[in-house]
Amino acid sequence: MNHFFIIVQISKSVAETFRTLSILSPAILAIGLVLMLPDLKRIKRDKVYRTTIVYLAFSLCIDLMSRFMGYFQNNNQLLWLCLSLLEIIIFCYIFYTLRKKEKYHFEFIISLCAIVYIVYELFTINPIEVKTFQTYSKTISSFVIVLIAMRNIYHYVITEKEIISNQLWFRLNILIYFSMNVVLLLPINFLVNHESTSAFWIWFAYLFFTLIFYLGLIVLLWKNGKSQKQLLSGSQ
Amino acid sequence: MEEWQKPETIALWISIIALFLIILLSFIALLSRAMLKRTIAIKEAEVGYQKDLLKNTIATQEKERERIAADLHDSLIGKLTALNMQLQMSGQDLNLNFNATESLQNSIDLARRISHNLSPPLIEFSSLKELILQELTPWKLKAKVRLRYEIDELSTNFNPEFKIQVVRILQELITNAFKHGNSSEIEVYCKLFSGHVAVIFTDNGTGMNPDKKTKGLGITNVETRVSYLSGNYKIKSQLNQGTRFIFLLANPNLKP
Repeated sequence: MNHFFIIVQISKSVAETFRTLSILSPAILAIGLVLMLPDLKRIKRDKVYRTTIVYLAFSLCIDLMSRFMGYFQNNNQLLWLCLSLLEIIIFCYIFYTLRKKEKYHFEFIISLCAIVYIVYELFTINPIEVKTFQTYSKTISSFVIVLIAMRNIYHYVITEKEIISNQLWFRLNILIYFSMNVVLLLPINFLVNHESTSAFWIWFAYLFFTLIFYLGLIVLLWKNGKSQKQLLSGSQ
Repeated sequence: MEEWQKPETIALWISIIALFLIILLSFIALLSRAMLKRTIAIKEAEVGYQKDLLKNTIATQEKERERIAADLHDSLIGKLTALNMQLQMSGQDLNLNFNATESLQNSIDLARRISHNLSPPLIEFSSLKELILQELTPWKLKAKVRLRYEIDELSTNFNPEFKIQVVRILQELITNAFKHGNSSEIEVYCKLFSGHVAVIFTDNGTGMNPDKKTKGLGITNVETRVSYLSGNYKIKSQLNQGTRFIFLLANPNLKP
């Protein structure tokens, strides 16, 4: 995503290459939205489809805003926290919609805790000070999403009579992406401050997984819509 | 000093990543187990369905055989017997009558044999040994036939379903031994063997290749019935040295 825009300052050429590659992220999001938005019937009918479109649209907005803020203010780290908050709310809701009959108390409680922590960081952390910028919001939100995804996938596998690969891969896509987030984005302070090739490769890996994640979401939802099946929702 | 340069921060990051990896690996193990259980359950359901299907097919086949046997016995044999009596009482040319009644009697015997073969009479009240003997006796005129029966009839009363299936298997093997194997000697050996009923059929015919991939209708039929009885079987055979079929069938009296 966009944070790459400011954060990576390894060398000019590497940064330039990375900046060019990072354009793929808004491009994929825009193409995905263009493909998904015309299906108004499905947007009305399908909660997961609708929520995913909202997520992709917000991600695109944050991406563009971060580029804008990076260009004019030279700092877009505040958006990092906003993205964490957005992701936890949206994916908590998506898994709530995807659940069958199992209780959702555990998921609500841990999501709420994560939201409280992110809001706390939003008010306490100083995003301008790069050297001390070490937020755990992204790690915590990703970790909570991973836990919710794990429970959902496990329930899906043991209770569903017929496993539909599209539906399973939709869940696994989320699980894999946010697992990577937990590991890759934990040392955010190192990534922001250290001008080394290792930091660059971590950012590059993050960009790669993000693009795969967006593509996965778009393709899986598009394929599911094409087959005219009841979407991924469990309790509509 | 930047945050990432502090040792406590690095230690915290490493601990979090290690903990997360443990959780992730545990989940993968749990999910793999759930998937495996699921696959086994699906396979078991498929096998159960196939067994039910087989059971129904065999049950329908037996019912149909019973119906044909009853029709043959009650209608055809009855009419032939009446005709035979009419012919005997008509008092016309005695020589001609004698030939006709003899032919008719042969036809009645043949029809009765077919009827009994299709559905052995009084199967509920006959022991397995009696039923096997009924099958073997007609062949005694043609070949050397032997039955070694080492099952206590008083304490082991098999259900009709089991008895009829064993008889069907033996019918198939006997026909094969004489029709295709040119045997001059057969032996049937029955024994209770560690909760199973062991049936060994031996002939001295031309033998066969037990590893042959394509199986004939007869062997397939035997296989189906053995599977229906939750049993196993083995064929030992060499060319021109006869064949031995060893069956190990689940004892129906020990079924839960």
